[in-house]
Amino acid sequence: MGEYSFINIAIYATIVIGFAGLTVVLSALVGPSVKSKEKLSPYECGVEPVGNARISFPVRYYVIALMFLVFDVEVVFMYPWAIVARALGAFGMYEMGIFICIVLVGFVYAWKKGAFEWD
Amino acid sequence: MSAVPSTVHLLFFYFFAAMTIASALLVVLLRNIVQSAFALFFTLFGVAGIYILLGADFVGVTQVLIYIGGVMILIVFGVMLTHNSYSVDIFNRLGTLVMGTISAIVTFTIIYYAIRQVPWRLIGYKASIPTTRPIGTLLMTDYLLPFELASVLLVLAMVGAAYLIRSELRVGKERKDRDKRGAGLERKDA
Repeated sequence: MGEYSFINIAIYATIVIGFAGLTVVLSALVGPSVKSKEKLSPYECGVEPVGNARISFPVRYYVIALMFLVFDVEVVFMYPWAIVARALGAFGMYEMGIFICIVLVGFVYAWKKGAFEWD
Repeated sequence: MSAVPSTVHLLFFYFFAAMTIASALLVVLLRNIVQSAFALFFTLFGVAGIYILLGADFVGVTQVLIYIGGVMILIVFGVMLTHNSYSVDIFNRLGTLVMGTISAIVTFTIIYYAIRQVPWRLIGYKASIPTTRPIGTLLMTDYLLPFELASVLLVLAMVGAAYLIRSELRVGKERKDRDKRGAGLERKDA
């Protein structure tokens, strides 16, 4: 397999980026180009676009993103634990259980405060 | 184990280093804050590549997962949520430029001396070994307290998020109460 096991990921990434780039370039070269007002307007699932897209969005989106980040970090801690979990046995389960319970306290707090409600 | 890196290794290093530096320059120089945010994607990705080249595979993947998948979303959201942030001209004051230059020079001087002071030990370039298992073992044994404390930090982040939108929550609650009192008949079975 050579020097790096990450060479597989490098090959994969090259193919993916190459394919995506090739598709964009080919469609620009081969495809017909008709520019009308309707065609250049932003596509909104068939609904006529209204107003400016550059508005300030509700702050609730930010809270959802913050919550996502918290659980993202939690999952990152689970990867190294999951690899050694079998060797650790019940002790490892308790350790991760405590970790998850502490994080859940914060989750329940934010929930009770109504951070996930949209009115 | 060899003392010199292979050509492939060097090629990848220069690729990721060029990507990091070029996109970091774009982050600073672009005037459109949305374009700056997207340039930051490439900076973080380049740093992840360098981590992996250094043999820190877990840190590299974590960088992709948290910084590209999470923090970048947060930054883009921050731009979206801020009023008028799309049209802000970043280079509108000369004072910012002067202060920025001074702080950049000071920061780089400190980093330069830190690099010169550290007695670097060259261990040679060997095939990267997976680091996730040793990290897991150490987290569950020697570093159990920091591991559990990390969850407290996550709780703090969530409490902070709830605190951030407290005024928004209060306004929403008042509106809901008002609706309940005002239009009681229509909302009774809703």
